[in-house]
Amino acid sequence: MMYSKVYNVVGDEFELGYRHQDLWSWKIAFAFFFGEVGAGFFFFSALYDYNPGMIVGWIMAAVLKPIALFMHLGVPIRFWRAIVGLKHSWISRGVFATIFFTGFGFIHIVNQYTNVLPGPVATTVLVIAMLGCLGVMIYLGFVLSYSPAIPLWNTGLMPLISLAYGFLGGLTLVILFGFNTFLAADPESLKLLKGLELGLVIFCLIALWSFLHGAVYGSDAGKKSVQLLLKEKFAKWFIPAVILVGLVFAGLLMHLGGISFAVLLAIAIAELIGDIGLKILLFKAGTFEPVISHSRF
Amino acid sequence: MPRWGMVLDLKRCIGCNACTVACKMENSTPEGVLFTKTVSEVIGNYPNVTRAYIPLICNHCEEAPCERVCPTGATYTTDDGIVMVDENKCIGCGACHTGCPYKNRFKLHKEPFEKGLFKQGELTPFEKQGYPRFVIGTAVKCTFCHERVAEGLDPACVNTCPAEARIFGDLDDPNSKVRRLIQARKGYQPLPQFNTKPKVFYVE
Repeated sequence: MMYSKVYNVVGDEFELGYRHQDLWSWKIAFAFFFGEVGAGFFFFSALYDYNPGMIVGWIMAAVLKPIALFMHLGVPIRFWRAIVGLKHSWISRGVFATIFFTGFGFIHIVNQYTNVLPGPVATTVLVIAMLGCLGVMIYLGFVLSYSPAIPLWNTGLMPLISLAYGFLGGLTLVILFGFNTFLAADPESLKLLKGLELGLVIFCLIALWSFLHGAVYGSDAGKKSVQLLLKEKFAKWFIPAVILVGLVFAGLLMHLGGISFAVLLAIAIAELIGDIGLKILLFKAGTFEPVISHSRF
Repeated sequence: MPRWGMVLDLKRCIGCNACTVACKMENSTPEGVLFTKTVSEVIGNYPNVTRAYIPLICNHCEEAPCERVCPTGATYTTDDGIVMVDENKCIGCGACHTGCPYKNRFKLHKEPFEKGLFKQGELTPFEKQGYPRFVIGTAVKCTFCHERVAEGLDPACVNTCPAEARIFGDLDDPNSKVRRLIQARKGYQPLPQFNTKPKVFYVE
């Protein structure tokens, strides 16, 4: 009988096996969550000149995200050094995007109330702020996929998933907040945004499926990570929170739930639970390959 | 300028972990931080079973992903190929930890420095002499004992190994023991598929 080694996930034991990623956890997950959803909220609010949405989105990405990030950093007082590695580090690039979004987003919001900037300048400020939004939403995906160390994360789909969830989170909040305000007088826009929201949910479902599928067949550690998410330790969180509540339930409500504030609120809560659940569980399920194996036969 | 590397001889390693202890003594690392250690692997099924001992250490990669992902430039490679961390630049983001395929990067948490080895809130003399070199919250890693190497000595783990399973030397010197071993016994790098070009080779 052929012997096929099954490795365990090891911690501090002096034993060869898969090793958990254990440094990035809920603090940095919340930092990225606030950044992505806040930037997405600002992005769609800016498209419709919805000032309260821009303010809340800005606060989420420019205030709450740094607070969560500072809780994670080992030496937060040195945070400014993170801009140095622009040539090679996606974290540095994300910090730049955040700076652009924070600065130009703030100027745009102030200008919305004061109108002090001439037209072309105001447009330029807005464009830079929106580009900053896109950068903030997408850079987590690049940060995770940049190194081959954790096969689950090392996929070209990660930036797309990151961006899609940023858009989706922002969109659900814009629809929720705007329902009784600017969208009440613009049913066409509401219909468009609802359609886009449903499309993003479908895209996220397919993207997650493809991402998990690729991880299973890409490497042993990737397969182990997917097992942890779908069958083992984290399955009781991943399947209900991320897939069923965050995508399936939210999608069904979007399609069949009608349009009322209560339904929109349920959609937003479900989607955001799925979003933060995905980030936390992606970090927890990240698994390193065993360094050497003698038993893969 | 030498290009320092190491060969780990799996045929000789007996899994005693003297290297682990020597490294800890040399570098005064706190609890939970092991720059090097030897893990074991059971191969086969009873009654045809054996155990392999595999030393693990930072591979000081030529294309170190930990250096690439570092946002502050705290991780850098010296001219002689040793990957180091500047504790004055590190912000403790942990990107190097998640970026290293070999999981040989460590973040210094404050608990060991506050509670001490025996969790009594008081540091032992060993800890008192060693801990000031560290900045809590930053990343640390194996440095090939660069201070010893600069004086012409071998790293502590190499010096201690009773089975001579660790060989340190200049990979660019065709007459060095590391080069001759790699060529003669077909040394291989760990996780070559990740293209990090480690400077630590295993021979069997």
